[in-house]
Amino acid sequence: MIKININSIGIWIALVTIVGLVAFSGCTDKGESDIEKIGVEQKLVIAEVWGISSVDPAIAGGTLNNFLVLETLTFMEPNFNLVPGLAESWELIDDTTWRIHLKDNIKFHDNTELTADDVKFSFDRNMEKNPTIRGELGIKSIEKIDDYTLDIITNKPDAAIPAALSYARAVIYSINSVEKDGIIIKPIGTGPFKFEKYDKASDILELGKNENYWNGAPKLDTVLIQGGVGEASTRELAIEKGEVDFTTEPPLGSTERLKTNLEFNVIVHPLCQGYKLNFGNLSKAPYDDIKVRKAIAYAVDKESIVEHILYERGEISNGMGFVPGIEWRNNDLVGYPYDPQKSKELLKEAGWEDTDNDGILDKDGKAFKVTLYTWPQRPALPPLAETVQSQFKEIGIDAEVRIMDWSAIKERLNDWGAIRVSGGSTSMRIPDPSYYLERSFHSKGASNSYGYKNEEVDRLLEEGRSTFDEQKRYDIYYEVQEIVVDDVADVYIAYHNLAVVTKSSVNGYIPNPSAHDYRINPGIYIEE
Amino acid sequence: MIRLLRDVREFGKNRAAMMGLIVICMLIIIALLAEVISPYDPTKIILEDKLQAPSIEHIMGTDHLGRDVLSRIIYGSRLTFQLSIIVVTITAIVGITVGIVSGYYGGIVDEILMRFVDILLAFPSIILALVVIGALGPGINNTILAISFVGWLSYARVSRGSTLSIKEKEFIESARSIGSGDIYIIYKHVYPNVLYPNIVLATLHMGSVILTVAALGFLGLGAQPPTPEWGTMLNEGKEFLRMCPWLSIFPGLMIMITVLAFNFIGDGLRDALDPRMKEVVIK
Repeated sequence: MIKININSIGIWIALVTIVGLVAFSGCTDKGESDIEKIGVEQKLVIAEVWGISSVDPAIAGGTLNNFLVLETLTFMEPNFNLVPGLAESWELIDDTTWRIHLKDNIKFHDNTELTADDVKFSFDRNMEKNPTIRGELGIKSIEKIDDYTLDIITNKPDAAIPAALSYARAVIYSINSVEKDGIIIKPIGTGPFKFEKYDKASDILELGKNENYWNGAPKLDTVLIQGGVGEASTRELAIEKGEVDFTTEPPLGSTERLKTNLEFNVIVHPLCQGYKLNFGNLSKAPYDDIKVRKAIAYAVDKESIVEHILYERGEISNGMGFVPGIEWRNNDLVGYPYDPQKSKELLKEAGWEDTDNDGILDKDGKAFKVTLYTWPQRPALPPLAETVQSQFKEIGIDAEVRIMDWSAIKERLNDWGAIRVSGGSTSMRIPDPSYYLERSFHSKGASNSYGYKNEEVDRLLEEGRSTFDEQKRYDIYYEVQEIVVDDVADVYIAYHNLAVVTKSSVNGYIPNPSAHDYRINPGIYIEE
Repeated sequence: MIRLLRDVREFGKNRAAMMGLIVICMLIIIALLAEVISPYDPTKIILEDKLQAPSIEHIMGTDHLGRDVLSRIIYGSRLTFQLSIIVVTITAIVGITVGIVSGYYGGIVDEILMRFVDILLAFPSIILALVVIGALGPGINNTILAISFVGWLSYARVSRGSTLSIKEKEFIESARSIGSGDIYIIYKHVYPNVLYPNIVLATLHMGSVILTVAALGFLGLGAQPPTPEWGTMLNEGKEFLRMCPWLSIFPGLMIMITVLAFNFIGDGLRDALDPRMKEVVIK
């Protein structure tokens, strides 16, 4: 069967290039003549890596949250602390009920007041339209008590609810945002910026200033976001030519060069994301053997990858996704430091030996040939995969690198020896250890596509979720991290540091390691 | 035989074509002797040596993973020639066969085949190649398939045209009158006459195939890393274009030189093999 995959990278790149070129040539000419008239125009043009493609909060809630249109009940601060957002306070009524008290002075962009009805409506709609949101929040139902009070009923005792309410996709918007039949008119939120328009053809989102923002009006008048600028070098050119004011992730090798240029500010800051190897299927040969997994973990030279592939835009990991500084990070773990000798020994113990002297290990007549799948949107991934390939060769594993689209990779992960070289999976979407650990390592976790299953881990994760004592929870999660690293559920290579490049006239950006990948802040302004 | 000698002499007089021929011969020798000539292993990653400017040790510098660019170019020429020879052979065989059959038999066969060719010709060939690769996935074999899928059309057109004019000639009629079968006539009389214009076409086609292979490689759809391929090298180099232009300049130059050389040869062959055309040009 021939299946036409329109998402395939080539077409994607071609389209993005065309769309990008057309869009950029359009959005720069405007406005330049106005600058003289009104002094410094408070307008920020952003080149965004990913396509926006929708402004329905149930689908693009995370994007609209990152650009400060829609807000959540609780906020996660850049230092991972949980603080009140649209909710003033929260309390545990009984094991499965959290009571939320809303702030009573909050107005939507259309000047109507935020009430419990809007909150209930938003949650119900988000969870209905997007089942993954329901899965991630663990909410059974929401009951309105009065205009400013709600009860959140959970399936099981759930200590992570206040943190989960800060999840970027658990956004709150007005009932007036949608027509009666549930189709979105426009997202009406409470954030510092309001939605002006979105042009799907050019993938440009335009936002305007919300003068009445409850926490003080932002400084920018307009924010223009050009979505889908997937090529790192395209983003670099766009900012160097002055077409955009703000972008992220220039080509890795360019960081140093951009830093020395006074026309730009380059901010490199840690992010709760990283690069890792995901085994295609842990229940199948060859990765069902823990010795093989350990051997692979030892075979990857993390130090040289951070230095030469990530150009210091990264940090070696302890085998887990939590970056230093997070309270529940198990700092005792060391992961798997590069040791090819140990690798070879482990493989030999597992029965893999080079019997036919062709440089490739084999076992029962089967050669150790694996495939490393990765995608091109993150510039470090293809060279990272090639490096891992050459490091595998050292220990006698013959790897092939295939670069293709995300969705096409998914279908191939069950093939013998498939490994996904991935980047970007975030460990801190909510300020709680349960999110990342459950998603990745619970046998029913949403990101656990590779079939990791350890009953002890499942039990601990469930216990941690329903334990309300903070210290007890941390102890449980420390243990989970230890078991998972021992099991080599995946091979965490390095944390990823985000590079933000702005024109030097852009001031006030606050790095936010908790964001995915970045979040603008109301304090950004343009200065001559 | 006399005609062949005359053609060769004619071709030899054309300086550009001779230059092209010499360049291509040299490149083929380089491609054949890649193991002997190339100073380093083209896929050996030495991260510590990354992004070195051209020097005595690395004449064309090293790439972002510390691989020697010269060695990669040399091995890349091997892959490029292999690919384009395979594609040109496949497409020429398919195209000539379709063209002769279509032109010789005419009628409904001709209608069906030529309308099919018309439909395929209506698509921009690179888009069609993208669709084929989108369906089959990236890789060398699929690249061959994708380019061949659209490449045979011009052979079919040219062969059909020549066949149409030849089949009206007296010698075909005489052959038929002494009872020769279709297959015999096609093989003995039509085919040799159709071959000449197709040789010119094939030479020019080599150049365009090399370009398409490079384009697909550049889009990440052709040869997969770490296979050294010129287009793929260009793609990898563009990330570093501002700092290390040699990563892109050398593969780009190689593509240009090779394509130019094939075009010169093609032009020379056309002039030599088709004297009438030359006369027209001179007049």
